[in-house]
Amino acid sequence: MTGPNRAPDRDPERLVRDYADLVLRVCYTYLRSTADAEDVCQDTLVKLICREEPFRDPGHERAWVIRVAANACRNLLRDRGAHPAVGLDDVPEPAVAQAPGEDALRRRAERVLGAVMALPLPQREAVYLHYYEGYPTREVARIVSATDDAVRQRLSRARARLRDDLEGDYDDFPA
Amino acid sequence: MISPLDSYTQSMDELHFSDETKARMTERLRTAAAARAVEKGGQTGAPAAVPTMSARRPKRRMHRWARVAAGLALALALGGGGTVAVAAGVLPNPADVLSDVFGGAPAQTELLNEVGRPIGASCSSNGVTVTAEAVVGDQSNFTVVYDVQFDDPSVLEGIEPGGDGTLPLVADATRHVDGVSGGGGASRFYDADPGDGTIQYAETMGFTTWNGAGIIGRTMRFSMCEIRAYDAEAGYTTLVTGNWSLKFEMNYVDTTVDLPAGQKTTWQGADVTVDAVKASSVGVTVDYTIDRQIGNLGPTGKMTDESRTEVNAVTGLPVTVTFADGTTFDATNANTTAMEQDDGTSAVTKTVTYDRIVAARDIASVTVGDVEIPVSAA
Repeated sequence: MTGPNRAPDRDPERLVRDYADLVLRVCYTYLRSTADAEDVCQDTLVKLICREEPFRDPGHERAWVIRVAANACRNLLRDRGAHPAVGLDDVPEPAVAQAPGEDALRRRAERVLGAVMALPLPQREAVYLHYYEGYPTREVARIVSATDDAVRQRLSRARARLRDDLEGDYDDFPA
Repeated sequence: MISPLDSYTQSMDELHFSDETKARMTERLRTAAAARAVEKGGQTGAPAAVPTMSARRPKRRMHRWARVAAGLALALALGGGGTVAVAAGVLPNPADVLSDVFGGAPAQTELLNEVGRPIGASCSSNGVTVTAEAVVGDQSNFTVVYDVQFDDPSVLEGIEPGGDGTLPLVADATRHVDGVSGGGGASRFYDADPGDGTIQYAETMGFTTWNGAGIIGRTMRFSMCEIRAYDAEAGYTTLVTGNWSLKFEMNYVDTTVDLPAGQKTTWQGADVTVDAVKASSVGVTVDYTIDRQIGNLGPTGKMTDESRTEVNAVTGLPVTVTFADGTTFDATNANTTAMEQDDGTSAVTKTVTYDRIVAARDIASVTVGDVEIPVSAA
């Protein structure tokens, strides 16, 4: 039977399967580390289990998980006073230039990831939610409690910084 | 060519928990769900306990802490022990990230005053248990003290400390802190409580990070595979081998205080401007500009008396830290770098850890040349 009175599906195996890796990526995006990911994931999913209200749909549940995990990460950052603004100049450069090959591709991937992770947090979270999770900007705005315009501006600035930092490696970066 | 955003998403795709970790989380969630069901069903008057990671961590032996903390002052007496180097880190990249995941979550580190205490970071192998006991540090230095407990203390018989308390032991160990791009330091063994079958191993490191963000909250991975004993006649002999790997948070209170700067003084006739002075519970850093440069030291690279004099005329500015109890620490011979500037001056940086751990409030002043800078003025 289906209907509004159906108990929410809070099967632990399903929650871990659907959301553990998601929370891991949220943690990495916010904290630049996964050291606390298991704790954050555990706490987030316990809150989900304890939540009485059903979600409208799976997308609603997924956005809720992202928001709760992101808030947990923000609390960690606040508690540690570890919210550094990182300049792109600090992103490690590749050690040597090599001919294209597996190693070169891997270094290039590391350079891209490093450049994204060196963005200020508001831009980093916007890039993650928009480009990785695929949320439209208005949904990103809802998740991060910002306006649609603000999110668009963050994405624009992020692209500009990445374009500058990755100049020479990529000529097809979106404007 | 793959686009940068595709590259980013591919890198993020590589991030995932191991199956073992997911199984562990699922099991804990089942327990939480059961407790929740009991609570909702009103089958017990007691509130349901929702387990978290910390619930399964072992309790600490509080009485051991006081003794190890007391030993920290001894641990930081440098000069003995072997030199070790921090492995170069290139973060962030998926490989480093995944190592966190596959190895399980790092032990958390709680704080006692300014010192971090890793909780449950312990590993046993071949009759020896290595436990991370204490972490202290500042913006650019850290010290970690490990307990090394022997099931058979007779292994330690005949190993006597030197005059400075250092045991004639060296460790074959590596360590890596997320975010650290380079650094180095010294290590030593000592015995805080002779007769208890446990000795202490301390590593003091200066470090730089890839983004200058510091390492508080980052993960330390420490591995040791051998402890060797040194004897003047027999040389190095293996005391014990094993496989000890620990992972814990570098959680401590950075007590760095920026002292007033801009004072003028002279050193061997050259004008000096104090650019920055930073003091913390573990060390001091002084930046100054001196109106002199080190000349050509000759082609051989061998330091002559003349070249030593020339270097000293730039880097030898005396620096002394005075503590509240009246004792002092001479930081003149700190790790020093001198960069020649276009205007004929040199920008000099001296940084060093003390030979003791002090509370930040117990640093009275830092004297640079003849300029005394009270910490209370910060």
